[in-house]
Amino acid sequence: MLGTVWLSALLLGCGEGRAIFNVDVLSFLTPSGDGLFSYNVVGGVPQVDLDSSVQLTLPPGLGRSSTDSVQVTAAAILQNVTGSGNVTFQVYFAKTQAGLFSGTPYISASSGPVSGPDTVPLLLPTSVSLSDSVFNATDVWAGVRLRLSTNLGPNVTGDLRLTQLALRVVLQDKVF
Amino acid sequence: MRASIVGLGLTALVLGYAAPVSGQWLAVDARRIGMGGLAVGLSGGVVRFNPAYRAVRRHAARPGEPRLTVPIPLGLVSFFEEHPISHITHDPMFNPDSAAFNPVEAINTLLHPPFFLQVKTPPTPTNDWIFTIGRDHLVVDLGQSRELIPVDQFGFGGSSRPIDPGVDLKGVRLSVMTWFHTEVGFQLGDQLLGFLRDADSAQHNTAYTISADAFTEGGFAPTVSYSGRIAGDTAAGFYVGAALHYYVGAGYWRTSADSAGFMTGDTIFAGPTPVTPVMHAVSSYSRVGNSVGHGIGGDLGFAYASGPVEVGFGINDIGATITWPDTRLDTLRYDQAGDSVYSKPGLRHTSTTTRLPVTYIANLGYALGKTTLGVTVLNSGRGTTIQVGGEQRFGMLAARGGVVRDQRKRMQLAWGGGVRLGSFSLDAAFATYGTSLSNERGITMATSVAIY
Repeated sequence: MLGTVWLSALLLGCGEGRAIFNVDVLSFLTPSGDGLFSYNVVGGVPQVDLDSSVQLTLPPGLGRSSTDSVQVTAAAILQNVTGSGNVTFQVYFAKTQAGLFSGTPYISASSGPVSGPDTVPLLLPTSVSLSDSVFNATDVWAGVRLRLSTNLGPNVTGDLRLTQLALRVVLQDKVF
Repeated sequence: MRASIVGLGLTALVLGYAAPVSGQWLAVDARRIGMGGLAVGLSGGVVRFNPAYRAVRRHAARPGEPRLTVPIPLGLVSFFEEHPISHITHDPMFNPDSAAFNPVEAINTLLHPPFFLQVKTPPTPTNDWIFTIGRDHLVVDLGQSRELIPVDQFGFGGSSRPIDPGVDLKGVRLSVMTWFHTEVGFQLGDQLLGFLRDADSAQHNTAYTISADAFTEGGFAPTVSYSGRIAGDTAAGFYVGAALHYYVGAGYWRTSADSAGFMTGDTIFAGPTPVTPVMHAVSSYSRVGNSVGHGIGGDLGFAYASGPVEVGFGINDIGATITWPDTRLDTLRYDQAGDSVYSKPGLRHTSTTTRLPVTYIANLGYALGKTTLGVTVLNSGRGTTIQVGGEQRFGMLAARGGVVRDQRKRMQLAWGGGVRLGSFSLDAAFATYGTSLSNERGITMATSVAIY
């Protein structure tokens, strides 16, 4: 895409050094900046997934670059309002939207059993992936999934407030 | 696109470098290099700029001047040992697909060809570049590499005369010289400068652009010139020289971009096309094989040689305006719908004029017994170069030193020596240089054999 050639031009002088992309994925997922993912699921459901995804357009030429490492960092707070169950938060990256939620999540954390009004911080372990081939592309899809299992009873409602979702991609660039 | 960007960049830089190199005398003589590149009047360097020196060379005698110098390109030997020609296409230095490819290093090699040994190569930035990206946020931190980004206008240029074969008869010379003129310059706009050099955050609806100009022309010029002593004798004489050139232009090409870059939108990264390219450039050209350009210009020179002292002043390409009768003008624009840059044909068969830069040279030399000293001031249209140097001979040995203020207004040092055996001498010299994409100097070691 010619529209982003300028970023490739920037990389011309990168030389033997690495190109490090610190991407605030959260800002792409929730443009409003609140980081809120709401849920409202009837009780007694063994498993339901609530997905949200966004396409990240990275500078062209990265397809020729080799990935040194990919690091994903996230933090979230679960604010359950009604009902009881279990909420698992997962983060995915993929080259295509179709394959986004089909693999293993990069990071994942579970709230454990929650019931009624409750606030649970989700501390997701930082994930480091070496020689990741997903980011050898111009377009990358990022997705978050809330996987809920609810107990019999009233609807399980609440919000997951994502406070951080950052991606750090280190490339040995061969952009040109 | 990749090849074109790299190719154009390298070509522009090399073309831009060719002229100032010639303007500053690409010395392959270790003796001259040891004196800061100083061309003491009687050597060949001044003749190119001051036609009076043809006569000075015929009539005056100076000690310590070799008749012929043969360079010893040890740098090429070393270079091709490290970069065998048989594997040149796979060499990381020239292969952008290699992980070890460093474009800065490649450009520096072209800017300062490794003809002689590189004692110290300017450091090539190899630091990490950090891109901080959010939906509405972009910061690029180039680290140490930001020092390579020129704050002011950056450019090379000048004219050169690679060869000038001809015949002399009683001070009159008929010749056909080849000539080239190149100019390459660019300047980053304030917004782009802040974005790259100061790691400023990208702003909404802002143009990040560069203005650039590249120009090259060349051809040949039948020339009639005269040089002779008009007063005095061999011991003390006043010499004049003049040349009249009829420039025949083989081709020229100029591209001027008053703005080229990109424009951000309401949000830095919104949609699949986060930025819109900006391109507003005009190309004018007359290709080789098309109708030739014509023009007339001249050189003037004066020299005075008395005993150990010589003084000279020369002006080149006076009034050298080339008229190209059949040129084309194209406009380069960005087509947003097609997401491509296109060339829109403009005027055809129009007349264009170009002007060769006037080059000035002033030199002062002193050569007595075993001592040679000199000063040269040269302006070839892109800044002034000042060279001060000297040589002291001790029997079969010679010691040399020099100081140069180069076109980038930076001081360079040179030093060296030689051993003379009969009619031959072996000379070596060290010189700092700043012709690279670096703020640090490199050091080269030149070697040559001189025949007296």
